[in-house]
Amino acid sequence: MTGDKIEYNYLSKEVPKEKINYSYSKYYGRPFIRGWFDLRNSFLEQKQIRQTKLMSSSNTGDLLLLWQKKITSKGGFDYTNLNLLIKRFEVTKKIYNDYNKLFRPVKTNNFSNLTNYLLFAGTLICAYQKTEIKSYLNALIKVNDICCSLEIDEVEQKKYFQNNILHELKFIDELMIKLEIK
Amino acid sequence: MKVLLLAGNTLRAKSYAQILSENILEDTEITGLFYGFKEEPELIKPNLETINYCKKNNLFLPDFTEAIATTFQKNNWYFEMVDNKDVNSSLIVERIESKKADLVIFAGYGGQILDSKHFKLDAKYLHMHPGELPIERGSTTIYYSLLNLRRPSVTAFYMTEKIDDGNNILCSSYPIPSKNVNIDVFIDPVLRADCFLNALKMILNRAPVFQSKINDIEYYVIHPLLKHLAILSLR
Repeated sequence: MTGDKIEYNYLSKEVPKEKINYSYSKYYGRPFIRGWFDLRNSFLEQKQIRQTKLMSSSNTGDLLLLWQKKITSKGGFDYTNLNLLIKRFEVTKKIYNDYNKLFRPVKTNNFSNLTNYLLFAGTLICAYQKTEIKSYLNALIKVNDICCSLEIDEVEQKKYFQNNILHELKFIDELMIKLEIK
Repeated sequence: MKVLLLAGNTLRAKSYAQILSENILEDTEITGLFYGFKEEPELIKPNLETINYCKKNNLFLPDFTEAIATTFQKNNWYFEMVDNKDVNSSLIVERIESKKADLVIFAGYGGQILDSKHFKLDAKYLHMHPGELPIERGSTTIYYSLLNLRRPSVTAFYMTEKIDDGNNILCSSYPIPSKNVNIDVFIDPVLRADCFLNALKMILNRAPVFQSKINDIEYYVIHPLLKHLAILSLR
């Protein structure tokens, strides 16, 4: 612990192979929040949300892009399958290239595609913006922890990731205002 | 009615045992099956804010330094200890069956899920979930209640093989705790114990059950950041 913040330690070099454990977390007060904000801000090169696109490289990626389009369109969206994917993610902390109809992975070793995690975060952003359901925000913070743990060198991926972080920071700021936390 | 407390060495189990000890119910025989235990003294004392919250809201505050076996011994309630932490082991299921209880109160270890073997037995299983069902299904829901500016709730229901599913007996909601009240250690087991006692009284009075509507939103282990915000939101 340094000064009035503590180092945020919910990152891991072993992700996504090894899960980050969020169970029975301790309470450290405001220094923890400051540590989280500092960590997230350290990834940003600019402070404005910009429209960014990312090409999919898997069936899951295609599906996530389709969901993003549907969620943000004027018509309704059935969140059942997204909720099921979130359930799978919350158990395994992995996103796979391909899923069957029950959202079980087709191949259990295909979970290292960074684009899938970035697009999953993008989808959760759309879902939370539309619904403000906290389980979407919860999963977003966790998938961003995974992305923050990884080396992101490719330019388009890096822009998309930074955009995800900006949205996440905005959501947390807004939630703190709503909860009257200064 | 024969009631069996199926207990891990948890604060919740101690709360249930002690609230029963404080409220003798007629025509009720209490027994215990304690599994995976190593009785270590819990040296946890409530802070002033927690004590005041419980007093103000007429909530029973357990003494977590008292071992569950001690509570049972004081009341001459029979209990058995099984040296196996797997609640779904054949050994534990056989022991439950041998007790021929009408009602099993589940107070196991965090994250444990009962498998189908339990629901083939004659007894009904009662569980107290720290959230309003069906809208607050899942894990660490007391924190999500606070984030959603909702009062914390507990739902007592008869368990089935599906998680947080089954006929509800009672849903109780409680005032939002004030700043510095210890939620993890005290408030979670205190609220569950309060709801448990009232639900048990309703069961003994043959109150009707009500079915939850289906809801596919589920909450998962809360991220520490959101947990911090929930706690910091308390005034």
